[in-house]
Amino acid sequence: MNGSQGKKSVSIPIMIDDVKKDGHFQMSRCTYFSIASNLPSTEITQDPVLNIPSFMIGFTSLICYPSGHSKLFDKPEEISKLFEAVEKVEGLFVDINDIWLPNFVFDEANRERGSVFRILPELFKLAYDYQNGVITDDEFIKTCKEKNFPTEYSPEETEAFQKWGLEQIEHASKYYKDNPSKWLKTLDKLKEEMK
Amino acid sequence: MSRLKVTLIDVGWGDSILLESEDSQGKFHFALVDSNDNSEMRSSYIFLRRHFEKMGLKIKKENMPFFRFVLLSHAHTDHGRGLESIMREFRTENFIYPKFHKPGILSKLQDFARRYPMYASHFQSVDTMDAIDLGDAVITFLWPKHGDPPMEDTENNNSVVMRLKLGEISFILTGDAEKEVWERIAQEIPDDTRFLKVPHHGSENGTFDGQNPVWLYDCPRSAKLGISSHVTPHPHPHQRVINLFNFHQMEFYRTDINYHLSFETDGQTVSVKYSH
Repeated sequence: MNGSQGKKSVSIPIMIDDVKKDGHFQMSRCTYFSIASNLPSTEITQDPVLNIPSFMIGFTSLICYPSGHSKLFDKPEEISKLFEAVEKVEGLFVDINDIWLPNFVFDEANRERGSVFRILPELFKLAYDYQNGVITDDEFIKTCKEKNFPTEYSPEETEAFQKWGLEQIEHASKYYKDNPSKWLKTLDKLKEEMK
Repeated sequence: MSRLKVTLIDVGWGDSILLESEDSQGKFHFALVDSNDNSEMRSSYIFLRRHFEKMGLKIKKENMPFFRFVLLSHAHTDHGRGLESIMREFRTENFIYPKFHKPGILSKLQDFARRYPMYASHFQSVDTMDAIDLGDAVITFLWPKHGDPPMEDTENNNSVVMRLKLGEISFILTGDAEKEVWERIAQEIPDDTRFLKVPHHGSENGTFDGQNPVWLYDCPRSAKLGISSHVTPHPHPHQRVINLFNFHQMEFYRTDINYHLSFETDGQTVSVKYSH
């Protein structure tokens, strides 16, 4: 499944945000990236299925792979490039959303915050329906067990996202050091200013 | 006369809290804590937009930034998603956040703030050393402690616990801080607390350590409690927590039953309004 872009084996990268093990609730919250827009488009789009020319007014589009021919987000630069490429188009941005998945769909050794897995669109759709209340907890769990959807840990993407996160921490740290005039005050200083 | 109002926005599930303060000159100041908006359901955004419109405030560039600060209480997606969109729409003077073990969604927000200073003029982490004004109200932080390393067990325990003080009254916001945090700071809940947001959506681990309540006995009985419920997919608030509040005859409100909850003070008295 990993990295293959053939129509039958498209996979979606998701990152574990939190693993819950509270009594009967054994699920992980997972984040995914999407391209989003809240603005009307200015160009007519030809719907590929219905073949109806139309203008889009806002949309959300799930991101599966980096731009170009890359098959994985296996370098921090791929992640930065993605944001920059999307944001070049007026009104578009990369949004983060989440879904819940049962803990048992992940291999236990890698089931932790920050791990990236690739899942099939069928599993994503099921989780999306669950998120939106279309199916119940029981239906969701039961179908996941019955279908036994494969999920694949993606070590390259896990590492790339971790490195990218570290880069953001470094950038934030440098920005902070370079801008002392903007720092929040201590309570004593603030009270002095508010007098 | 100065006023401070804290509104727990009913966003279906999760936290999103509007802070608004009217100073002695009649000027309004706003801040936002968390959002759980996604691309399809923009509950916080819609609430904010309608609220500002009702106040007669025009959402246009000349009035930006709308927010004195936007705070991510901790680096979990159900508290941070949608914040980028909200900062794009309303802009903020400061984007602030706590220390963290693994950054998760915070990385994306840091990257956004750094690349788009027009939307977030400044960004930094906060701890017990910091303070910020909101009109005549002063905001300080009880947690995380300055100089301590981040908690590694769960990001919930890196949640910002903040005190908003106006006159003789304090309001306390608690993020998703769990029992490990309350064991360390429950005694610091001020005696003048008259509103406290129940930690972690009213989950067991935000209020109990085994059989023992971890913060309730340090919270003045006169304080009103507000719960940002998270009934889907968790069963938050937990029935044990509700039973505890009932047993001690605490006055509490919850977003899954009462919808939007507003707690307001003039620095001496407190009132509560809710939609249902």
